[in-house]
Amino acid sequence: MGFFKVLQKIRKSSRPDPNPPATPFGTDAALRPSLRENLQKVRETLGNSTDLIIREVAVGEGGTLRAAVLYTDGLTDVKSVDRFILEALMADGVLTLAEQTGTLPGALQKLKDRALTVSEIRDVADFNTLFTQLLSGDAVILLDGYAQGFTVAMGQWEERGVTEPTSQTVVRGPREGFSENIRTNTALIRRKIKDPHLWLETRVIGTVSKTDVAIMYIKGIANDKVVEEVRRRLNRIVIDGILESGYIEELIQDSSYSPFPTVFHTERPDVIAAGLMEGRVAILVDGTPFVLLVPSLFIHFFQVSEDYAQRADIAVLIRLLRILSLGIALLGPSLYIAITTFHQEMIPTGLLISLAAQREGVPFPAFVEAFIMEVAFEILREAGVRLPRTVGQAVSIVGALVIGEAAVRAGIVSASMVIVVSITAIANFVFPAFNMAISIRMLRFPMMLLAASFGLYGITVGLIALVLHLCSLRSFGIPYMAPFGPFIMADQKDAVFRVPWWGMFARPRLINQNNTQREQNPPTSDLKPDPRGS
Amino acid sequence: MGKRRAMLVMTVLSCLILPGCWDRRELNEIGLVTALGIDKAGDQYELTAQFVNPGEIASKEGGGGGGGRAPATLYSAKGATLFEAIKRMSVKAPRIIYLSHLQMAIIGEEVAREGMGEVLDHLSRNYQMRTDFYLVVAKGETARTVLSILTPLDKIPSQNMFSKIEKSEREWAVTSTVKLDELINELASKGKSAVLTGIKVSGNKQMGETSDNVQRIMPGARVVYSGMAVFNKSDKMIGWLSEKESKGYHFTQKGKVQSTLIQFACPAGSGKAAGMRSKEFANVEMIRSHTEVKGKMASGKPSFEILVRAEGNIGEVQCKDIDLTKTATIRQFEQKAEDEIKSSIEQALKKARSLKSDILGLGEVMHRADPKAWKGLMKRWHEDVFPEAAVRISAKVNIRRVGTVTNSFLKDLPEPSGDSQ
Repeated sequence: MGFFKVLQKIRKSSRPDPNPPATPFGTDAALRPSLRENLQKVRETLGNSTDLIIREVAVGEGGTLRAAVLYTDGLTDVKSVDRFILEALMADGVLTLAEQTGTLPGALQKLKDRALTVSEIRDVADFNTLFTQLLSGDAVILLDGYAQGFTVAMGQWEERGVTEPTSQTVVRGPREGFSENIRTNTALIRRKIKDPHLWLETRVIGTVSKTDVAIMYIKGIANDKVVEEVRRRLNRIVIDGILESGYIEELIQDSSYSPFPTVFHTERPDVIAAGLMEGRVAILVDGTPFVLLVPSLFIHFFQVSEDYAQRADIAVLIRLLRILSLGIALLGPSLYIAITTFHQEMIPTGLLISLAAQREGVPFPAFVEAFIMEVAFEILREAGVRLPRTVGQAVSIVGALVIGEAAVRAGIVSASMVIVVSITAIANFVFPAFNMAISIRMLRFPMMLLAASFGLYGITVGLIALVLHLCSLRSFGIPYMAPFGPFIMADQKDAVFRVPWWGMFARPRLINQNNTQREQNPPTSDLKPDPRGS
Repeated sequence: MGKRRAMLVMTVLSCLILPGCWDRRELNEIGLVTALGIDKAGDQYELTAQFVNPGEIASKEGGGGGGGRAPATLYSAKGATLFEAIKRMSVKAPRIIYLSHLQMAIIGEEVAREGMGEVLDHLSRNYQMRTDFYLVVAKGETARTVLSILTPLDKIPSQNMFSKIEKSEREWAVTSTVKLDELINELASKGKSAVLTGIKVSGNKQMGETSDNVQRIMPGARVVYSGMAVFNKSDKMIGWLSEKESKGYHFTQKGKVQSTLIQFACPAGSGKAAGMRSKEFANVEMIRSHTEVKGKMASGKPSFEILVRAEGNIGEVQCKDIDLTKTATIRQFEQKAEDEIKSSIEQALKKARSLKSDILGLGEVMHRADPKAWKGLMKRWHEDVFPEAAVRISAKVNIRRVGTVTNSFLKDLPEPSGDSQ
């Protein structure tokens, strides 16, 4: 209780000014007719930043019309600017004398229609757009005497290519992963779903960072209410910058004070494509390879794209293994503590004797012992993530030696506790979703505490509380524990179990209510193997 | 909000109050008692508890293993009641006495003969004790002596006794695993008297107490099961069953014989029967048996029918002059085995009659068959009615297999010259 109060206090005290200044220009954002004035304003606003390149040229017959090409060095393809803009502008006869002095749209229209051999050109009449485009990598063309210009898409910068996703690896399945460029990412999804109903909406979020955020969904499959809800929540965001999709996730998730993630994220285009076809909505954020997928149910965090690539029976067994790992990762040490300190009568005599033998001479209670080991392991793991690769190996060797061997030899912890802690740690790595793994890792500690004070009873109470909490969660209006609570028989086909593809006739019920037919074939499909083997 | 907070406080509070498992004990604070021995010491009970010494049991790699200490240690204490003795033991034993893993309770013969009802009250009342330990009676010894013998193979003596009784019940059917609740049921039953397996020490008892005993390939002293203690209609032990009587007793109990051996002299009359030696034996290993006991009142007198159906395989044949390929021979063997089963049951019945204690449970059969008549018979059942009741015993043995050979190669051995032939 106290913790949340403090959090709320912090939140209140750091509440932003409800009316932040929208732009640095206010109402006076329109371009001026004078080129000199415009350039002056650009230079001033950017503080004479050295990566701003301004090339002034003379255009048209006799070179009487002054024009300027502006771009940001490093974000714009200089060769294309030279070849398609400067060359075109400086060519003789690009504008006749009459056109130069003619009505305002005439010259611009001519340039656009006849001279500039580039595909994406937009008009710009105010400084806000100008700066956004300029700093997104577009080249800006301004003409003297016109309070209007164009932006030409010329963006090209150094970026990471499409590589194999490192956070979610599979044995079987596509090897490509999202990259930092939102356009590459949408392309990767389009490559998988070539349906015209795959719709893409983009908006700019972040008053300073001006990050592109895109919503992707399949019109007609996705629930319109969910899409509307996503839009609503994105529109509500007021923040200066979005540097990772995690920002968005935290701003749009249903319940902030739950340890469980209600927004799924992935680096894998195939996972996003599968989600879209289930009727879920993807949120892409420029600058990060992690794409969000909503609504996300508890069970989604235990499913891997490979489950669908492997044969169904194997997939089911592996999913069951994951559920088992969930139990071990959450309850491993707490069950050990509870049973060895409260319920010794539950252990077979032989096992109890060997456990007791290992505990001979261990100075701490089982809980303290488990706590020491768990914390030591968490430190090692965190260190392993942050350490430079070259040092990592050394640390893991020291860690293994210190924890596994020396601690037991020194009689500080019992060997069985090392086994329990290690199997727990390893079980935690089985989860395909890292954010769910962290939640389980975190919940392990309160469970240990309950086990140490109340035994199995405490664990049971803890689990009940956990289940109640899980059942109270929602992700974009969809109950988090579906299809278990509420129980939906039809959706059991792809929860813990996965039926073979020839049995996957419908999409999940709750997520998309309007279009649940997945396979056009009726249940008596030819796809289903004929039992008589004809 | 106030209501929700009150609910939360109440939930937390109930967490503190409700749990029944409040008694947190670390594993190295508890003393695992795996066997209890109960003897008489004058007017008092002397309780002997066998504590496991876990450090000595679990094999540790490298040095330090062994250490020369016994795998288990005994503490004993006296008291007018068992619980007093247990509590008094705390002045000697450094750890919390933990009885949930009790495997064996050994009743000294003296206690058994004087009546063991008092003892059982605490054993069944103590919340730590489960009812899945086995009770046995020390035959002619104190329970303490039996508990102080170190055993090979199983380091913990109680573990040794525990697995020994389970295994021998399964394979030999002359010992019985009797759990606390079963014993109490039998003691309380008016139509059945209790029996408990006997246990004794064979060999040099002094040596049995030292680690010398387990360091030798042939231990100086061993703990062995022997016979079965018969109780009277209440809780006093009155006699012992021999091995054959025990087997007969087991055959009368439904489902008690899982596997045993029926041995008999070679049948005469086949082949050159004239010269057959009487010391030649054959045996049948019983692999399945089923017992049916029926009772009825016939002209005012109770009469019973015990029918044993058994299946077995020929286990060993010493007989030289028989042909096992003939069904007639097999039938002969079956006949012999049936006779042997009948005779063992008859012996058990005879012993029970002479002790005036219905260990076979015929009274219970009567109770079920004719409850009205039982009411009249109940009072003098053990003393008068049971010894006089008519009991017809029949057995039906089917031999299924003869083993991996048919006729024994003994048939083909050349006759030793100058032998009795």
